[in-house]
Amino acid sequence: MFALAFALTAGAVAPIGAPQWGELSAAQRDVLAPLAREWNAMSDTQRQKWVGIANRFQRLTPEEQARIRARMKTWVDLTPEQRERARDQYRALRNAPPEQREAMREQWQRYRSLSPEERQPRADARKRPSARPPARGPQE
Amino acid sequence: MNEQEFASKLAGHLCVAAHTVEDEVAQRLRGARERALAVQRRRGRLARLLAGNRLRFAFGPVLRSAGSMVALLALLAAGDYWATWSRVASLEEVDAALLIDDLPIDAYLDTEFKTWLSRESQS
Repeated sequence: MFALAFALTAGAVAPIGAPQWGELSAAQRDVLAPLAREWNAMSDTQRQKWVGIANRFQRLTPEEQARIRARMKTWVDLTPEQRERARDQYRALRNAPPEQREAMREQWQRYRSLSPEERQPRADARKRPSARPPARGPQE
Repeated sequence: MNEQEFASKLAGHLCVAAHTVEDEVAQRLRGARERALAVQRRRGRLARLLAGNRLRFAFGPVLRSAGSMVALLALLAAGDYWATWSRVASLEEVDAALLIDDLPIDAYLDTEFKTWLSRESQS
């Protein structure tokens, strides 16, 4: 009986309405225009998520709206693994202290301007731990 | 004369004879008819009652199982709905925040950046 119940419900519940492109409102279509081509191929979860983002679009500042519009297509073109990695990184950095968060944009610019070698820890910094006096063993 | 013709003739005679029946005989006939109808009504009720009980005895366990199955299905559907809603809400929140963030998406894709950042903040 349980097996039958699981079999009947597995995949039977559609996620809270995942509209096709033609079912979106004009305002939603305007916001999500960069995704028009991919829309009907997206999973139900993805479509529902984008509908939610489109619905909160009007509450964003003009600067934030411009950022979303500019990044939307790039985001969709990433692989699922890349998107998950970006989310993990975002969650990790979101908890950084506020002063560090504010400086992050400049630090990103600085990081970008560095060569791969310059991004590596400096030699003296790497040596620093070994310059410490050796730890004493337990006194007997 | 076949049976139908006989019945038809008999009905005709009875109709004519009914007008000549004495009052006392008519009363007795009416009383007998009403008693017969009352007995028939009681038997009908009893038969319906017995049939209903038989159905209940026969289908009771099936109905109970079906009810349990419907309740279970409803519970599973509600759980699935909640899990999906929760996942969509979580994705929406993170993705929206990430897309409007000060930092570009590339910063979050570069795994070295976080390491470099924590190193810089320590030095």
